[in-house]
Amino acid sequence: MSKSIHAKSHGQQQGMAGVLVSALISAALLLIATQASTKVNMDSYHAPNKVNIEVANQLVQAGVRYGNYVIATPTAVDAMITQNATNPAVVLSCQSGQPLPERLQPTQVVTTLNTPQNTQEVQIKAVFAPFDCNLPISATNFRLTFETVGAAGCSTGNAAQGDGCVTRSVVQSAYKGDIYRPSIETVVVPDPVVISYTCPNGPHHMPAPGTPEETGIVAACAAIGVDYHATFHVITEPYDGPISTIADLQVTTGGGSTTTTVTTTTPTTTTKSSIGN
Amino acid sequence: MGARGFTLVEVVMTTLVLSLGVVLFGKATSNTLTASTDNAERQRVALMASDINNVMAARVASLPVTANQQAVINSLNGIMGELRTEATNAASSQGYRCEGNRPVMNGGTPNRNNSSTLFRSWTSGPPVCFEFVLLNNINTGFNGVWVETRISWLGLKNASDTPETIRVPGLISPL
Repeated sequence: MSKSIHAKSHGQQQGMAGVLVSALISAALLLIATQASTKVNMDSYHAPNKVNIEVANQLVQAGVRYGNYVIATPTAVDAMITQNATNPAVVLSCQSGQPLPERLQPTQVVTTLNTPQNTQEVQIKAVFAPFDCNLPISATNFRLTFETVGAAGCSTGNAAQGDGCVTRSVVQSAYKGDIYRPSIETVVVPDPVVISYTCPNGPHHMPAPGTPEETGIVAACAAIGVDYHATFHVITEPYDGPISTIADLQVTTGGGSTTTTVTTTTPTTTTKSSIGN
Repeated sequence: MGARGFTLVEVVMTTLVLSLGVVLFGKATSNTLTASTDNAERQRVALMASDINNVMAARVASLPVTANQQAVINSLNGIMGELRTEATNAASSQGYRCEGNRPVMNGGTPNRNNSSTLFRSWTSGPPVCFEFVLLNNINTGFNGVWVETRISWLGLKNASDTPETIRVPGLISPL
């Protein structure tokens, strides 16, 4: 009797174990399916974003093309500078002894492009600075950095918000100018230097090469660091001063530029010969 | 010590539990595969549209940067016409045609001789229909012109004949 009860109990345990194993197998299968399903559900959730990624890429390229247009068009640069001249976050101004940053960081949106749909946005942030701080900012003296943000599927006006919102951004920089000065520099103006030379051969329009007169001019120019051997211009003007038969050379420098002027007098005209370097 | 078998109730219960697990697993796997394929197709189609916009931009890039907007529009009309022809030929070579931007299978054997390199590279994707739209009514402020490449296809998840469509815009200019 006891043996019979034991055998029956053992059989019930085996049966329960079979049900338990099958339940475990089922649970394992469901877990695997759930895991795969969750992954794909996430993909499905992001599926519109994948389209938005391509749209955002195209939008940001649109902004870059507009930026290229501005950079290549002086009137557009001037217009953008003028429109934002009173905004110190967009048009930086130079200060003596306080250099502007090497890398310009745009923070403010200066223009937005019209787009085919209102869920698409192209914002262009910009910052301008003079290339040479000793000169005013203009289309021939500027540094600029654009940051274009293309946004797809975002709430309008908030380029980084919204379900399925995708943004892309590209930074582009350009400059134009002669001398790079990130801060105002005081230019030392040398005192004018005057060297006189008396032409020995009387009135003339232009010294012949190799003559003592030209040699004298060369020497006078060299004394003050002027390259005489450049261009020799002759300008004849009506003369109403005193009659003189002595021609004088006066060489003057100063103010950061160099001008050499030869003045000779004749009874009827004054001949000014300018030698530029 | 005779071995005792399982009772009928035990066998039925075990079979039911296991069957339920297998059925749910199969259903989940089927849904997963469908959604996964649909996602892959959507992504592939988005890339196609972006590629086509880049092809149009490459054509217009041959214009001088100072070209006026009308010259850009003319150039875009030219390339769009060529793309439409190529898309039609590509669809034919894969055995379908487009009716109202909905792919419809052709009868007979598809002609695999398609000379379009661009469209041949997409033969692994779903049958798609292209639409190229010039949006020159949008003011761009320079010589650039907006275009929109629209691609329609029949998604696996969608049981109806209504095609899914994506629209990818592009601002095309010589710069």
